[in-house]
Amino acid sequence: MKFTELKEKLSSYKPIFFLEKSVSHRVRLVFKKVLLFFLVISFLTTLGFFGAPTARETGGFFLVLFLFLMFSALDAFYYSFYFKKISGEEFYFELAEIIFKTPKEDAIKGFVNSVVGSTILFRCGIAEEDLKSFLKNRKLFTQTSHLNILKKDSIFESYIDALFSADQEFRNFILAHGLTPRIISKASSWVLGMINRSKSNERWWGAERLSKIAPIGRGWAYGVAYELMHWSSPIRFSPDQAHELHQEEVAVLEALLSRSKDANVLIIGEEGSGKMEILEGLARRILEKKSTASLVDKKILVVDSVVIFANTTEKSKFESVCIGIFNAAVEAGNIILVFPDFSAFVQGAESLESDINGLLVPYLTSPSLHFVGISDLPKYHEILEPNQTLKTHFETILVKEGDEKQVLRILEEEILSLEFDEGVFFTYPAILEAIASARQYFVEESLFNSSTDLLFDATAFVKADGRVVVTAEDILSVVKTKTGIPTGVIDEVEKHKLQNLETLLHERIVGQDEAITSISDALRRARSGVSNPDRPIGSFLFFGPTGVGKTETTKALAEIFFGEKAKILRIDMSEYNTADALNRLIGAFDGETPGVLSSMIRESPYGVLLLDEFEKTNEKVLDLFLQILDEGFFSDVLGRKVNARNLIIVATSNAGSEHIFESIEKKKNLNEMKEEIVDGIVREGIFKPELINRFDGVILFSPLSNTELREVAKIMLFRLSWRLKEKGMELVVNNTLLDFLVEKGSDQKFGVRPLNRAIQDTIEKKVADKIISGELRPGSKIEFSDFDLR
Amino acid sequence: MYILLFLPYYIRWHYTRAWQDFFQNWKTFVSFLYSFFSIRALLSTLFAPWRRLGEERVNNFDPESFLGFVIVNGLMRLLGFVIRLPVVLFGLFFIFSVFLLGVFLSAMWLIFPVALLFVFSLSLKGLFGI
Repeated sequence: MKFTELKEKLSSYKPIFFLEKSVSHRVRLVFKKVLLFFLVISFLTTLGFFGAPTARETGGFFLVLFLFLMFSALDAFYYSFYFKKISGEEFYFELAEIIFKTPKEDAIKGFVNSVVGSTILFRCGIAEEDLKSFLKNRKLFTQTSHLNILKKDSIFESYIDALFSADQEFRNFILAHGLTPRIISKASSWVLGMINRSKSNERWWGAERLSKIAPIGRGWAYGVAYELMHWSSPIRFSPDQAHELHQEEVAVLEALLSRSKDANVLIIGEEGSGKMEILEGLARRILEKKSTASLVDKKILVVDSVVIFANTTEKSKFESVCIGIFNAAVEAGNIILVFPDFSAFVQGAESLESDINGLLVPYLTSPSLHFVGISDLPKYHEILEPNQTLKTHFETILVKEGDEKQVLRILEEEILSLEFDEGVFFTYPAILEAIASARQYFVEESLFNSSTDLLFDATAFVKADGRVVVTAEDILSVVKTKTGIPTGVIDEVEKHKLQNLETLLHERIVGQDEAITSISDALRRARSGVSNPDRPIGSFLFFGPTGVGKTETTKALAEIFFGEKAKILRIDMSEYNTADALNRLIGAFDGETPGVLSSMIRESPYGVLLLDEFEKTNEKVLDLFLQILDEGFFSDVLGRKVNARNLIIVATSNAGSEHIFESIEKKKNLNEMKEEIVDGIVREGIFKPELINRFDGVILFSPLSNTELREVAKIMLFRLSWRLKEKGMELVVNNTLLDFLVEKGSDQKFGVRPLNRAIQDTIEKKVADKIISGELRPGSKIEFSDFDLR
Repeated sequence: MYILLFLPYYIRWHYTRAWQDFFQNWKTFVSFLYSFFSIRALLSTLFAPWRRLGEERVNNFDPESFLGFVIVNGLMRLLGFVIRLPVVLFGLFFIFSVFLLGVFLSAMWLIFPVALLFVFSLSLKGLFGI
């Protein structure tokens, strides 16, 4: 579609465009409020409330009346056109306003200078000064005839896309602010939706607004459940929420509760998946009279089980309270009883030795009472699922967590009330970042809850800083504070580290170029944000003989990248080869023994997880890691998610060492032999191929040559020398010492281990002897000769 | 300038689509009041006991308890009727008023531009004696 065609399509908005140009809607609203006030005053004056009215006062009243009626008629005219649908498509008057104001020779100016355009860009975090400067310093102007508007989700988004496609300078300006055309398009839909909703709300006489007013007298045919008032409260919900997080589940719940018999439902789902929101959605439908006829006058009451158990410590008391509640609800006839933690209720009843089935079943079959139980998944499996009697009377709804798109729609609505309450302003990228960060850093909670928490925390963060605008950077700062994970813009120090990671690692690791390059690449991918956020930062399987630097590489990586204080979460997998290994890692069913792996990762969610001797663990544990490597999280025994997306996982194994030695002996290139060696490991059944394939990199560590051993010896001696230096003594690292160590510590089978032992058994021993004998004192220098070392 | 451009549109709208809007809003108000005062629900339960209050009927015939049942339930039904009826009447009154108001406003709408000028002339007369 061309610009002129679009203008033609929008021409039916012309009447109110002219009206807006004469007196804008905002001005009319203000005037009407002022006029209404004067109208009342002047009317009272004319009636003689303040003494006999003069002719002027009466004239004043008619003038105010004239203006008020005129503005009211103009508003009726405005709303009539504003809400008019054009040939079924979703056009907006705001778009027409932009189009009519856009000069032929400058398409961008029309958009940027419009109220809606500048609001959209401001919501995206672009400051007014930046916009002005952009408009002023542009070199090229895009003519409206060059716009090619391609059909998309909405015509407004299509128009914005056309602007981006036609004007490279505008596109670059947007990209320079860390935005993409897609973000602007989505933000435009959001801003337009807000404007539209606020205009709808102005029309208090509209059917939609009136439908939200609760009627009188509807419940008079039903009883008052006085007994219930002590033990329950009406469900709390926002009547104005336009979008549902779980629309499908609300429809299913409505259908199930509308049945004439056994209309009881169990809503089960993970912690924070929005189970209660389903009932809130139903409450909205009932209020708006959109529900089925059988639910039209229903009241949703949420039972407070905690209060019940706090007041009933005996079986008989508990049962009499329950029977009282249920009878009251049956007598009232229009009650939907909700148990927010139904598993705990059943468990509590059982602990009082009450026959919960006998207590509930007579009421579960009653057509005048509906039960809705809510439970999380682990408790459902543990407590409710084995109870076949209860199960036959309940239909289950399994709640899946809302996806990013659904959460965004709800947040787009809720953000306005948060802004109103807190006196802050959220940019659209801040909302998007809250969702993205929640997904990456807080998988253990529901996406909706953790994104909302992030937005709340960012509000406090910004207010403490004396600002009002919450940006994506603020969200990332909150994430950094909460998790310790570096997020946001990469600073100079970090940039230097990332760019020189290989060099920094080589300061501690001798050889093993392939391993170091792979790890460095993975880290750069993760930090730049191009890696898959649903998996760990990086995962590597190191194969190689003992003492060739597998563990040392991991340690060096942790210290260089994650800082000196970084914890390496190290697990010796050879300790986890018994039948109970999985439970020791993720927790035991008794709920009292926490899992080693789950506790470790919860305490330090960011860093390096080192799994030593990975091949020695059992199959169940390997299957657990299959999931961790694939999805970046796992569930502990209680079903709580544990986030492993901010870890670098390094598994080391000696498997395949013989093949590695063989290849080296035959002077074959280890890299070329890699496939064959890994195939051999798979053939031997040590690891399944699907597990090996889940790792980002499978790296073979080669045995160290004598030259490399010499370099390692140098590094080790420098460390000893550094320790002695702190005591004021100097160790001279000369060729004699190095030759001796390489000769004594050279054993390809054990890598640097013999070298380490040689330093401990010979050099450190001799130094210690000299210190004890007093030969070596602070200020003295020690240099070993051939003779000393014999 | 713009005021001159939109005036013809306004006049056309006033005597065409505005009528549709007017009748639509009128209908919305009437149906809102009908639903707000729960007319249908109250009429269908006009003689139902107030808030389901009443005596439970006992099976074995006992003249005293039967009498108690009849009296108490009769009273509760009467109470229900006494409370519901005014609400229904009040609701019907409102609906009728809105209906009449609609008739009046539609007549007013027809002459609105002229009436507006008339009000304006009254204001001029009062303020400046013109």
